[in-house]
Parts: sequence; structure tokens; C-alpha cells
Amino acid sequence: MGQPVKRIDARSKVTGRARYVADVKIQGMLYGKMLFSPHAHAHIKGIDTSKAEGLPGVWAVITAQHIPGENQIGVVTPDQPLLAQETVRFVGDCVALVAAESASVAEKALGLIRVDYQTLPGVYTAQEALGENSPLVHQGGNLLTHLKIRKGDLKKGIGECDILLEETFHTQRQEHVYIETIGALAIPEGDGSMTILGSIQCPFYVQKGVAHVLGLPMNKVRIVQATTGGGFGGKEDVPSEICGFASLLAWKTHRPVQMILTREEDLRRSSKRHPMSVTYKMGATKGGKILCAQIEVLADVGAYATLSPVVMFRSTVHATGPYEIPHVKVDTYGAYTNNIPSGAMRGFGTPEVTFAHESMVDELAAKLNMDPIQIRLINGLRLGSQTATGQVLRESVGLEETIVKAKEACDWESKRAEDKRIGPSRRRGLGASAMFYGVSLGAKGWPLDGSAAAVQVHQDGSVSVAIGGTEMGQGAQTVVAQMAAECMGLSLDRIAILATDTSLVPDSGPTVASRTTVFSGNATLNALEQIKRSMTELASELLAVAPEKLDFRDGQVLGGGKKISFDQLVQHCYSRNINLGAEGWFVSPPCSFDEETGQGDAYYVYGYGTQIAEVEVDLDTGQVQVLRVTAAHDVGKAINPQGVSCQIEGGVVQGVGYALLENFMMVKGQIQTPDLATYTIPTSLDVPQVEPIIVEAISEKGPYGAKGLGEQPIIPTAAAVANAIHDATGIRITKLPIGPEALRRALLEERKEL
Amino acid sequence: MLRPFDYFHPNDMAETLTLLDQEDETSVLAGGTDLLVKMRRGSIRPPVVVDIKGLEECQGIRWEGDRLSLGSLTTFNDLLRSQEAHKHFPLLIDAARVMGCYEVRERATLGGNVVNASPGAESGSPLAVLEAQVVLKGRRGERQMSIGHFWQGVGKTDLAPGELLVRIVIPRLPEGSRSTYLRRSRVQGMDLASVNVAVVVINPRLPESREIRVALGAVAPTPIRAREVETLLRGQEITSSLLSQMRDKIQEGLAPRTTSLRATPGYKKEMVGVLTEMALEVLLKG
Amino acid sequence: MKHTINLRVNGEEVTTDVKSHRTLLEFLRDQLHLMGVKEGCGDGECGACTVLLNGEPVRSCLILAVEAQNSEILTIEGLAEGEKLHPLQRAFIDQGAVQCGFCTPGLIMGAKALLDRHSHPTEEQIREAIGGHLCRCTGYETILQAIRSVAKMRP
Repeated sequence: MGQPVKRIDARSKVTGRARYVADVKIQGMLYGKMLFSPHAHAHIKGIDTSKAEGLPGVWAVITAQHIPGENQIGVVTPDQPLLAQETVRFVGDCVALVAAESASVAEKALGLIRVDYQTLPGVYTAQEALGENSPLVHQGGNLLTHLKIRKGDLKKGIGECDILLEETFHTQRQEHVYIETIGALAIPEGDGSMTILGSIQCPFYVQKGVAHVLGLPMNKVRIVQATTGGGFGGKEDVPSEICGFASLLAWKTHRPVQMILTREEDLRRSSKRHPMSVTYKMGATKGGKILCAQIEVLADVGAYATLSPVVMFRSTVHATGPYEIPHVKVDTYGAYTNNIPSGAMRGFGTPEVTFAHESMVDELAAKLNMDPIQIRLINGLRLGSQTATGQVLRESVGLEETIVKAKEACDWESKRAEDKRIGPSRRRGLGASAMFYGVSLGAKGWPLDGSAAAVQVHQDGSVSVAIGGTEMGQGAQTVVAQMAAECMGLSLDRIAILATDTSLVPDSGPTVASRTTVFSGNATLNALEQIKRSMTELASELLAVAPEKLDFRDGQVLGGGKKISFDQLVQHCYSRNINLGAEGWFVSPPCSFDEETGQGDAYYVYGYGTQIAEVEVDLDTGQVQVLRVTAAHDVGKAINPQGVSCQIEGGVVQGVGYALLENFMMVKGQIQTPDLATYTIPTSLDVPQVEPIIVEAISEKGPYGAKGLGEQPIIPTAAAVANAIHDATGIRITKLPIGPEALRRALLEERKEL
Repeated sequence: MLRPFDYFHPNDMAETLTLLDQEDETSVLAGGTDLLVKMRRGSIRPPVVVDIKGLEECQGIRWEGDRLSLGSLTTFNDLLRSQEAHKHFPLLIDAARVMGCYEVRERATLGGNVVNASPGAESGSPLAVLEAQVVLKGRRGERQMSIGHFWQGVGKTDLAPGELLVRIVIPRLPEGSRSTYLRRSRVQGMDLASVNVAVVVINPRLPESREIRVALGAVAPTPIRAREVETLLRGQEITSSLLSQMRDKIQEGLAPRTTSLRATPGYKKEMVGVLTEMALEVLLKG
Repeated sequence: MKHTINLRVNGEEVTTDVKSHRTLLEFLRDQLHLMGVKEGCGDGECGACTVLLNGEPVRSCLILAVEAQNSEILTIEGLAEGEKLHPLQRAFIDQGAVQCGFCTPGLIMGAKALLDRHSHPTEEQIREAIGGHLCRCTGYETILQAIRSVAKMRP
């Protein structure tokens, strides 16, 4: 525990033996394909599938009218038909499905389906969507959500400020680019139930969604997670749609149906990070104490709500950044458009606002002639601080330590003082950015913030652990195995973590929001403690030692100078019919959020971090190279430090892509970046040196003191890069990504000053 | 997933040319790194694919008198392994090094890159500035033409139906010449150039007899020579005012595609001047 | 159109029929069941399908199976000797270079070819060799470290 360990799934992956869903083929299996709408907004006047149905090798063609249950897949808001029936609202809407003997026949069949559309005017930005007389994406109006925070007295705060700044920031649509595309294999069982194997982040969402569209009770739908090649939020809700498609085809044909999205299909259908416009008014005293923040967030949620209401909640709660600000007013709006839905992506609404508030804090520091580190230390949250939602932080606030450690590790003072000019047209700069992130779902999370684990100790003393959280690459299985091994005093190789399966554990909510270490970990410990109690009782009898003196260590149960091997004790248990199986459960500590005032304990605990980026800017081309990122993150207890470092490195690089490069572009609802040749992500030749620093502000509620980590590292990076560019050039860029063109244009405008 | 087609792998030129002559929509397969992508997208659907990797005539790098002759099947990794290319045409090496990624360079051929006629192709501006010639063969015989005439537009060449690009020949540069290739791209690992320049300097140390050649990629329907800039720079001392004139002049008449995601026309036009200046700085140093 | 092809895959002679429009990637996965060869994009952009063809790394999605006639193919499945892992496989585990694992087989094959070409590659050569392999989990550093560590162990 707390020592770096090798991942338990690594061997299967380096040998090519790990089975992802596309690697599983079943006798008699058909291949499923979907037909996309070519239009961003249109009425469907008619669909003629007769030719496709007549094509040899085609086993089923399905349209909305064939759906046996309810044609509805919206995870938070019931606004999304699984198959478009009357209206298509974005170019990823599907109007028909085909199952055929081969993927190529299925594709041919798609070409034979005739759909008669009447195109409709669309809306393509959130601003447009909220304008008067704008076309409606849904009948209820284009405003999906409005969340608020009202704290203190904004007017008073503004009055007391010595300095007040205002700025609007724009962020772009980002794609996850997990390397494995989404896929599903639906197997119709003889009893009318459906088993689905898939590349899935949240199997319990899928179970509910599929049961709903098939009109089956949930006990007739079983979801098993295959090895999953990355998620980053992108496999949170969208797999329910793909598994829904595959299972409809399997239900219709009574044959297994596999549906593996091509990269182009995946990019077209899967949700993205929200494009946002955020306006900040922030004021401070001469001494650098931030007194007020007035914030308006406007997000393009796309054609369907998907997870937007929850994403917007996170943007709202985190809008002020990790600072104690007495007077706060936040308004967050999410508007429907005819773009691809915005949904869950690593950071979940936080990187967008962090880019803005961290740019603002640096601007305040610059205007006050104050060191950017200093202003963060003055205002940063600490034990006893009150957040924007009025939550008093009573434990585990590691922000200050992350600021100080990051600053020391990157040699902040001397580097900031260095000459920025390293050549006639090259400048270097250093920029800092801080963040916080509420662990797990919080007060407006949906729908269930509890997690289960089912554990058994087998006759040979080996242990199986089934958890409700999933492994997508983040290392959850290894961390849970470590905790189980520590708890039982066994070596790691005695623990097996089973593939996540809805038939093994009760609904455990989603694997999101950096909650798996804490929730699946605590549930596992809860189950193991039950088993340990039974084992301890028997050991106490066998060894004639009081139970409280017994300890599970090194494969033994020992105490009072006596011991018995774990395996022997297990055999004794079995011979006496003692149950060595148990189910564990963990629920979130209570959270609250008042709809009118936005006050309450929004999340039970927060993770904190500070990143410092060092950049080099080429003034001639506008190209920015990120040389180094020092990333200090407070994760509570780091169960597997190697895993934590890997998560930090990967998150920072995604953040660098977000800062400088990535932009999933749409024009009038049509995708401009339909493949990986046009949507690019950082390569090994682009990445900075990343220095991860682990800070451990122990959380009492976490297993062994752990908090969450997955989302944190991507959150502050873009702002750190923007602040470093400002340090290098004096230019403040307010729009992501910071491409060479925009920066060069800004540089040309201010050239004189360089 | 590709649509079905007939595949032939002839080992001799006559048989190849007969096959190419038979069908209108025959596609020639060399490295396949562009062809298979186009076929998968359905932007071309050839009923017949003729794999020319068996043709000896299209292989190898050798001197023919004062010209280096490169078989159209020369891969980018072949170029990188060629001592002759390193020694005589370093700009080709600069370009080959950033083309695609290692695995793509292992398959992608110079001939394919030329026939594709992409405005920003990595080999485009270098071959233009080197005044390369292409050798084409058809059933009615062989012909040679300058590469500048061969390219006719985006994806368009002078290749007649049934004709095959066999070799690319590059005249030797005068002793002491220097050359380089520079580009802008969004990422370093695997991306097309958003804009590129190839520059050759003949007699770099003797300003009065110095000749500077410049070719630009991704700013016009084909790679193009910047002739007026060449005239401007010929025999002149390179001063900052001359360079500033060059940066203005080089933009004249350029019409980059407005649909490119990689960069706007305005930025591309500015960048060719910036890159040319960077190239001159490197080539005229010391 | 069907062709009979002969090739060696992971050391085994293979003679089989293949359709002309099948890519090497499809052939290896669907006909030879070598599922360690991954498809991430089908377009040559991501590198997940990288295998060695006559010792050099190639994108198997951009090659027709018929083009592999008379060649020698090595996939991730042929890298270990029985249960004894190749040093690169070992290093990827030890350095934490594996997360979701989907890019891993292609990366290891690309790295193997690099180390076959250069027993002591420079940092630039290492970065270039994997420049066309997309990984979204690791940020590449642990992968680079794994490759460096194997090179360093060499005499």
C-alpha cells in the first residue's frame, strides 16, 4: 500500500491477449450498422427500407417504429429517442439499423435505405439558440438548464474592491480520442433476456437504458464489461445508445449482433466537451484579496441533454476556482443547438471555467504587480475556508501544499526573473494555475451515489472481488486489488478482480467523477471486513487468542504469540460451513445544494492541484511549445503512486492538446474534423516533460485516506499554458485552443511592446 | 472495409501497361498509404488494382549522367537511407524525415506522393525547386516532362489514361549548393504540412553570382515556384529590407484553399515568407 | 477475386486463400485470429495495427493481405517465447507504460523494430519511431522510458 506496484492487467495487454469487445466472435454472429442523418436538423417524412431488406445477407432493418419498449435513451433528461422518429437534430442522429452477415453487406444495405427529409433551419451556437425567434431544437425551448449561486452581497463586494476586471473567455469542443472505439456484442438468451458485452464505462446505465428500449425488466438485461480501451467520459452514456442498437438487432434476429464503431462513426456519434463562453467580473483589494466574482457561463449542450445538467452543476460549483471569495454570483446556462451533443469529458465542466478563472487571477496579479503564486496563496482554500456554495471545508485541503511544492520544484522565482528573450524571435515564460475538483457525484449528481462490491474467499484461500466500478485504463482494478490484499494480509497475486458485470453486484452508479478508488475501494473493504470478522472469530477459537489481538498479515492470522496460516484458516471455515462471501456497500457522505441560492455542501470532499507550465513562443510563427509542466496534485492517500503519476502525465498531455491544438470543429452542424487525420492529438514528438508531484492530504472518508484523481490533471493545464504565454509575451489569449495563428495575430498587434 | 476489386501483380512493364490500358478506372498500387485510405472512404472505387511493386524499372536510386534518377517506387525510408540523397539533396531528406510517420514512410513512395498531386505534399516543393523531371510510360511510348508541368491542379496531373510514372529525375546542383525544407504542421508526429517551403541556394558564398530558388507548398493548387522572389533575391546582399520586400512579394498571387482546417489562407501566406526567411538564415550562415 | 498466398506469420508457414480487398489487418484478425492486432482508426493515423513485415513496422490497415505474399509477419502474439516475455513487454509492464492497453501491441512492435535497427537509439530516434502511434492515456513518458530502459540494458 502506497508502494508502486505493477498493474494486474498489464501482462494481458502487452501480450495482446486482453479481450476487447471486437476481439470476441460468436458462432452465428451478425454485424450491425447504423444509418446517420446527413442533416443537422430535418423532419423525417418517410423511410423506405424495402430494398435494403431484400438484399441477400441482410437479416433485419430496424427503424424507430419497431422498438418494442420506449424509444428513449436520455440519461438525465428524457429528450433523446434512441432512433430518430420524426425529427433529426444533429448529424449523429440515427434513423435506421441493419444487421447482416458481414459488415460490408450491412454497409451496402444502408446505401439502399431511402429517407425522405425536409430540412429545417437550425441553431448552431448557444448565443444563437437563446436569441429571440430562434428555431427550436426541442419544443420546450432551447434553454435546457440554468443554475445559480448567490453568496454574500455582490454589490457590496464590488464597492469594496480596489480593482475590478472583466473578461469573456471561449472554449472549444474537445473529443476524447480513446484509442478503442465504442463497441457492443448483444447476445439474445433463450429465456428472452439479453446479455451484452461492451466497451463500457458505466454498465448500470446501459442495463437501465437497454431494458427501457427493449421493454424488458432490468433482471432480463445483463451487462458485462469487456476490456475497455480508454473512456475519459466518452464511454459514460454513449455506450447505452450503441448497446441499445445492437440489442434491438439481436432481439429482432434472435442472433448475436456485434456492432463496432468505425473511428468516423464514433467521432460522429459520441459526445464531446462543451464549447463554452464564460464572462468573469472579478475584483480584489490592493493587497490581493479577491472580494467578488460575478460569473456567467453559457454552454452549447448540443442536440440532446445527455449529461449536460450534471456537467453544468460542476461548472457552477467550481466557477470561482479554489478560492475563498466572500461575494459571489454565478449563472450557468446550457442551451440546445443542432450540434453534436456535449456530454461528459474528463474534468466534466471544470477545465472550461478553470481556463477563465485562472486567467483572471493572473490578470489581477499582473495589475496589482503581485506574484501569481502569492495571490493564489492569499486566496486559496484551506481548512476552515468557505467555498462559493458556503461549504466549510473541514478536512483534507491540500491546495496550499500543491502550490508551494509545484513552485519549488520548478524553480519559480529564478525562472520568472530570467530574461524572457532567448533569441531574436523566441521568448520563454512560466505560468501557474490552480484547481479543485469535487470527488464523486455531489449534490446534483445522478442518480445513485453508492457502490457495491461482492467478495468471496475461495477454498484455496484465493480471493475474488467483483466491483461495480469499471477499469478503462485508469488502473482501478489494480488499486482495488491492492486494498484487498492489504486488508487481508495477502500478496497481490492472491486477489482477482472480476470483469464488471451487472449480475455480480448491485447497481453501483457510474464510473465517473474520480469516484472509483473511494467508492469501489470502500465497498470492497466493507465486504472484506465482514469476512474477516467471521474468520477472526474462528481463529480466536482455534488459537485461543482474543479476537481484537488478531491481525491478518503476510498470509497469516496472528496474535498473542500464536498464528495460523490464512489458507488453513480458510479450510477450517469451509469445514465448519462458515460463509466466506460478502457484499459490501458504500454511500457518499451527505451533500446539499439549494436551487435558489446555490448554497450547500456541494461535494463531500475535494481534490486540489497546481500546475506550472514553462513555454517557448516563436514570435514569427506564433507557435507555442510547452517545455515542461510541473503538476502537483492532492489525491489523498496515493494507493498506487506509479498509477497516480501515470494519470497525471496523461491528463497533462490531454490538457496541452486542449490548450494548443484540439478543436472538434462544426460548421452549420456539419463536422469538419471527421477523422483522426483532421482531428489531431499530441504525439510523442509534441509532449512536454511532465513532473508529477503527489500531495497526500488524507481524507477520513476515503479508503486508507484516498480521494479521487482521474479528472484532476487535465483541469488546470490550459490556464497554466495561457498564463505562461502571457509571461513570455505579455499577450493575454482568451480563446482556446491557442493556435499559432491567433497568437501571431495578437503578437503583430502588440509588436511594438516586445 | 474496402469494396471488392480485381488485383494484379505483374512483374513486367509490358504486362503492366496492357493492364492499365484495359480499364479506365484502374488504380495503381504502390505503397498504398493514400490509395487504401481513398478506397476505404469510397472517394475512389476502382474495379481493378494493379500492384506495381514487382517492376524493376520503377525501383532504385542511381545516377544517370548528371541527374539522379529515383524509381517511382522509392519509399521515403529508402530516401532516408540513400547516401546520394543525403549528400546532394539534403532538402529531400528534410522533407522525407517529417513525412507521415515511420510506418508510413516505410511504405509510401515518392511516385505515389507525386501522382497524388496534393498541394502540400511533402515531396512537392522540394521536387519543384530541384526542377525535377518525371518519366512517364504508356503503351505508346515514354515521355519526360518537368514536374511543374506535370501537376495541373489539386489531385490532377498530366498522366494520360494507361500511363505510369516510372522515374523521377533530378539534375545535379552545382558544387557547394545548399538546400533545405521547412514546414508548419499542427503536430510533429503525424500530420500533413499546413504550409511548406523548399529553398535552394546556388553559390551561397558569392553574393554577386548567388542564385536562390524558392518553392512553396499548400498555398496554390499545386506546389509552385516563387519566381519573382527568386528574381528579387538573385545576386543581392541579403538585408533586412530585402527580406521584408521578399515577405511582401512572396504573397502576391497566392490563393491558398479557404477550406483547409490546418491554417487560414492569411496565415499560410504570411508563413511562406517567414519560413523562407528562416531557410535563408540557415543556408547563408557561415 | 481470390488469391492463394504463402507467408510466414509469427514463425509459422501459412498458405491460405484471401480476397483481394481484404487488408492485412482484417486477414490477421479475421482469418488467423490474431486479435492482438488492433484497429483504432482504419486510416493509418493511430498506429494500433502496427505489425512487422519483413522486420519493418507497417500499418496493417494500409496494406492488402495479398501484398504480404511471401513475406514474414510478426505480430504481438509472436513476440514472447512461450511464457517468457520479450524485454520490451517486460519493460512496458515495469515502467507503467500500459494503461488502457489498446495502443500497446502496436507500440511494442514499433519499438521492437526501432531496437532492431538501432541497438542504442538516441532520444530523438525513439520519439520519432513512435511519433505515429497515438496514446491517449499515458502522455507517452512511461512508454519512452520503457524503450529507453531496454536499450540501456544492452551491452
